[in-house]
Amino acid sequence: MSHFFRILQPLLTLAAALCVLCWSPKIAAQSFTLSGHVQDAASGEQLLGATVWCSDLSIGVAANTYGFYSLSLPEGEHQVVVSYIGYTPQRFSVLFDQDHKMNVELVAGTALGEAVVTGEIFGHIEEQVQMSKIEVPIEQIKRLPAIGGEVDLLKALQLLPGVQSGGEGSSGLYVRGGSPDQNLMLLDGVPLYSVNHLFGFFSVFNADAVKSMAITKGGFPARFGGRLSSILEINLKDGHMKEIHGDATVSIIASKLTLEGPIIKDKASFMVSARRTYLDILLRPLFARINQNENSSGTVEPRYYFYDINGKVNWKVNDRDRVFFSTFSGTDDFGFSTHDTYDQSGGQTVNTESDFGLDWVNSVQALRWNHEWQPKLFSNVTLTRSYYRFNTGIEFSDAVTTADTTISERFAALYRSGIEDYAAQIDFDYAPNASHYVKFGAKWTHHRFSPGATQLELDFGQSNPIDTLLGAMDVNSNDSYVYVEDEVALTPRLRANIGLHASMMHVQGKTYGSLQPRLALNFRLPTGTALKASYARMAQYVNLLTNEGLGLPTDLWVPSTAKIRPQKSWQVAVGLADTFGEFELSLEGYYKGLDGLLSYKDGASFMFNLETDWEEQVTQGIGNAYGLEFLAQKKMGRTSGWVGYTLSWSNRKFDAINNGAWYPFTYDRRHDVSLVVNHELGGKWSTSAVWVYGTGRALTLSELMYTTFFVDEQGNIYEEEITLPSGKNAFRMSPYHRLDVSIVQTKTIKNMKRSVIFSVYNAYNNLNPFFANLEENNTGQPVIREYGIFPFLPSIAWRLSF
Amino acid sequence: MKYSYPTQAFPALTSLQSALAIGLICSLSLTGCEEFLEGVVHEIDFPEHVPALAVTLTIEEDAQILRLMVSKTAGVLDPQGSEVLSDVLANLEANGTSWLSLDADDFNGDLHSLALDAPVHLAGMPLRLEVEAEGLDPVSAESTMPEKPVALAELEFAVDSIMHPWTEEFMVRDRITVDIEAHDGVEDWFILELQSRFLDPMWGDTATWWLEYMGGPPDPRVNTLRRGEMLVSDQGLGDGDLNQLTFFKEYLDPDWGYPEMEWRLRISALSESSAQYLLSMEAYEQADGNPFAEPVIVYSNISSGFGHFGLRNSVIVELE
Repeated sequence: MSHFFRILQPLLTLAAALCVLCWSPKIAAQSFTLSGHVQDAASGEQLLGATVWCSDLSIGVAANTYGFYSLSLPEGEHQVVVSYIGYTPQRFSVLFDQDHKMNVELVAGTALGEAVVTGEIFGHIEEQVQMSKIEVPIEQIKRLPAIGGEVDLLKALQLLPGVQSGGEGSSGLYVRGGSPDQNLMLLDGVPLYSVNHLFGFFSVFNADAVKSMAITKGGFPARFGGRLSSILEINLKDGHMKEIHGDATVSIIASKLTLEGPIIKDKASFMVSARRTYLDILLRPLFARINQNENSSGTVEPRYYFYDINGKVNWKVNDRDRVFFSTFSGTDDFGFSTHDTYDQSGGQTVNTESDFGLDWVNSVQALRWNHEWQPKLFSNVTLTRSYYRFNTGIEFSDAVTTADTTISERFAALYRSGIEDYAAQIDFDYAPNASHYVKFGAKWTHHRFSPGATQLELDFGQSNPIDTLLGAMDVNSNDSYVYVEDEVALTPRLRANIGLHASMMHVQGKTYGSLQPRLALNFRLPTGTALKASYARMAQYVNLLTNEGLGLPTDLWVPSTAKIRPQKSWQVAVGLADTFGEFELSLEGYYKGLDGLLSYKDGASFMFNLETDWEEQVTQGIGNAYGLEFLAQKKMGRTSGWVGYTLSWSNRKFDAINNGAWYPFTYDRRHDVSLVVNHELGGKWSTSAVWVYGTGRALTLSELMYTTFFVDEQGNIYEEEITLPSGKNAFRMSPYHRLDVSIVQTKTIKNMKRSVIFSVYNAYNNLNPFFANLEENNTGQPVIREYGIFPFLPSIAWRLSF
Repeated sequence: MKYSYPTQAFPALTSLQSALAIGLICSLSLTGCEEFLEGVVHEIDFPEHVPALAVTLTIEEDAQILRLMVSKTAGVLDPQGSEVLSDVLANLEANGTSWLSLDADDFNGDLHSLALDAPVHLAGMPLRLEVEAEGLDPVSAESTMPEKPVALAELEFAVDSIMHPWTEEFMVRDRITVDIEAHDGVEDWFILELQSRFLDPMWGDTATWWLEYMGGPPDPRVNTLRRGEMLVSDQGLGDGDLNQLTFFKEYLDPDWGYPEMEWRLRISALSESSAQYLLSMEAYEQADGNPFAEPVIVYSNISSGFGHFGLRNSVIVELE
C-alpha cells in the first residue's frame, strides 16, 4: 500500500498545484461560464468534439465525449460560434455577467451564406494542442470501396499515416512500429480484446452503428493509459431522440440492420444494430448436393459464420444527468465435420465421426452516468465488463456395432484461452477559467486471464475414461490508475497539455507501479502554423502472445506476472500543422523506445506443447520505432479525402531470438503511401478510389543449410543437415500495392434513401502476397512462392436508409 | 413512381464505350475469379547465397580424440545441399599459444579426427579456433573451458508411485537428488545425463552405457531436453544455488523382474555458448514439421560463419 502512495504522491502534488492555480481568486473572480451540450438538431445525437469558440478573444473549447462543453470567459459581451464538421455553424452574442447554460442544436449540412470565415472556427488542426490524433468522418469511410461491399472501419484507419495493416485483408493495426496488443481499442469506453471477424479480414466494428472514430498515435493525454502505441476511440450512436430511423444493407458477404429511435421522445432513445454473414447458409444446398453425389458413404459439412450485435440505450434523466447503457456481442464459428458409415466383415457396421472447430466470442457491456455538478464541473462514472474467449478443438469418435453389442471409442482435445475484465472508472472535466481545462479521474480493473489450457478426453473403453486438463491455470490481476491533466494557455502563442498518469498492477503477490508524465505543446508561429511537440511515457500490463506467421485468433492474452515485467514505452514527437483553405496538413517525426516486449522464443508454439507453461515459452526484449509522417486531409466539399505518407523503421531485440541481435520487426515498413478520394459526381452519383503502396513485409525464411554432427553416448556419430534462416526477418516479401474503386448511386423515394454500391477491390489485379513458402516446383526444384488471396474482386451492395 | 437514370450528372457513355467498359470489367472478373480458384501464386527471386564455412567442434576435458566437421553452406535452392570439406586448415590456440592443428591429412569419413596422446587439462583456459578453406572467408571462435563440476548425487529406490494418465498403470519412481556447486558471479551451465548398463551379460553388453530418460518436477533451474538429459543453470537467479535438484526415473511394476543394472550420472559443465547451442538445437528439433512454431535460428558462436565451437568438462557420479 505504501508503494501505491509513493506513486500517488507526485500526482497529488501536481493536482494540488493545479487546484491552487485554477482556484486563484484573481482568475476565478473575473470569469463566467457558458456550458451545455452540442447536439444534432434532427436526431438529438450528441456531437462530441464540436467546438465552441469565442471569436473576439480567440479562445475556445471542444465538447467532450458526451457532447458537454464548458467555456469560461471574462465578464462582458462576447461573440460565440458553435461549429462541427458537416454542420451549419451557429453564432451567438452572449453577455458573460453570470453563468449561463445553453444547449446548442446544429443542423447537418452547410447552408450557403452560413460559412464561417476561416479562423473563426476553433478545432482546426493547428489550434489543437493534441498532436498525432486523426479523426475520419464515418460518412467518408462508408463511401470507401470495400471487400465484398462490407465497409470496415479498421481498414479505413490502415490508410492513415503511421497506421499499417498486418497484411492482405487483415484488420490488425500496427501503429508506429507497435504490435496490435499495444492499441487500446475502446468501444464506448470499454476495451475490446479481439477486434477480428473472419480470421482478421473484417473488424467487429459495424459502421452503421458507429457515430465517431478517432485514433491517437502519440502525445497521449494523461487520461489514457494501459497501452503503448495507440488509443482508438469508437463511439456508438446514442439513438435518434425524435423518430424511428433505420439502415439496412445487403452485401455479398453479410447483411445488417440498424434501428434507432425514441423510447420517450427527447428523453430516452435506443439504437440496435445486427450483422450476420450467410456464406454457410448459401453453401448448404451445394454441399448437400456434393455429399449426395459422392460415391463414398461419408459426408463433409463445413461451416463458417460470424455475427455481431450492438445496442445502446440513452436516457436523459434531467438537465444535469444522463445514463447510457451500451452492449456489444460478436461470435465467429468456423469448422467442419465428417460422418461416415460402412459395413465390414463379420456383420459389423462402423460409424465414424469427426469434428474440427474454431470459434471466438467477444462481449462488452458499459453502464455510464453523466452528471453536471456545476457549469464548470462535469463527471462521468462508468462500470464495464469485457469478455473474450477463444476455443479450438478436434474430436474423433467411432462405434462398431454388431448384432448385440456396440463398442465405441472417442478422443477429444479442446484448447481454450480468454480474458474477462470488470472495471469501474470515474472521470471529471473541470473548466475553472479561460486559461485552464482540467481533467482528472481514476480507474480500477480486475482481470481474469485464461492463458491457454488443453482439455483431453479419451474413452477407449477403459474402466475410467480420461478427462484431464493440461496447461496454464487462470491468473487474476488488478490494475488501477489515477490521472490529472490540464490544458493550459501559457502565453497567447503557447498552449500546453500537462499531465501525469500513475498506474499500478497487482498480480501473484507482486506489485508493479509506473509514473507516466505527459506533455504536449503547441506554439503558434507568426505565420499561423503550429509547431507541436509531445512526450509520453506509457506502461502496459496485458500482453498478446502471437505467432507472427499466423493470422489466426489463436493469440493468447496473458498478463504481466511475477516473472513477466510490464511493457513500457516512451515517445517523443515533433511536428508542424496548418490549414490551407480546405486542406489540413501535418508533418510529424517521432521516436519511440520500447521495453518489456513479449514474444515467443525461437521454435515455440502455442500448440503441440502441452507440458510447457506459457511463461516458459516466452522471452522479453526491447525495441524502437522512428519515422516521419505526412498527412494532407480534406474533410469537406464535393471532393474529399487524404494523402498520407510514412517513412518508418521498427526494430526488436530479444536475448532468446536471433541470437540476441537486433532485427527488423515483422511489420517494419520503410514506405507506406495512401491516397483516398471521395468525389460527388453530382446528382445521384458519387465515386471513391483508394490506392495504397507499402514496402514488403519482413519475413523469416530458411535460406541456407550446413552439415553438422553429434555423437551419442556409445560413440556413434550421426550427421545432420540443418536448414536455417540467415537472420530473423532478413527477407522481404514483394511490395504491396492496390487500387480500389467504388461508384455509389443514391435515390430518394419518399422518406427512403436507396443506395447501390458497386465496388472493385484490387482493380488492376495485382498479386499482393499473403504468405510465402519454400516449395518444390514441377521439376522438383525448390522455389519460393508468394500466395495472394484477393485478386480483382467486384462486388455490389444495397443500402436502404429510412 | 417512374425511375430514370440521370443524364447530366453521370458522364454519358456511347454504346461503344459502354461495351468496352463492360468487356473490361468482365475480362478482369474472369481473370480474377480464375486466379482465385487456382490460388494466386507468384514465384519470386531468392537472394543469391554466398557460401560460408560451418564448423562443428566440441572439446571435452580429458578427451582422447578431437572430432571436427567443416562444411560449406549452401542455399536452400541448391539441390546438392551443403558440402563437407576435407581440404581445410584448423588451428587451435590454448591460453594464447598454438596447441593443435588439423588439416586434410586428418580427414576421414566426413570428419577431421585427431587422437590425443595424453589427456589435456584445459579447465579455466581460453581457447581459440581458426578455420580456413580455399575460396571461403576464414572463420574463428573463442570460448573458455569450464571448471570440472563438483557435485553430489543420491539415488533412492521406489520412493513413491504414480498412475500413468494414459495407460492407467502404476509407475514406481526412483528419486535422484543432485547438489552441484555453483560459482559466484558467473552463470553456470551443466548437463546431466542418467546412464545405465547391464551387470549380467545374460541381458546384454555389460560394457556399454545407455542414456536413460529422467523426469522431474517444475524447477526454473532445469530444462528437460528431448532425450531426457537435464540442462541445469542458475541463469537469471543471481548467485542462486544448484542444490537439491530433484529428478525421477519411472518404471512399471518392479515385480516383473528387471535385470540388475548399474547406474551413474554424467554431469558436464558447459561453456555458455554450448548451452545456447543445445537449447537452440532443441528448439530446432521441436519446431521441425510444426507449422505453428516460430522459426528457429540455430545458435552459432562462429564469427563470419555458422556452426558451433563448444567446450565441456565432465565428471561421473556413481549412483548406488
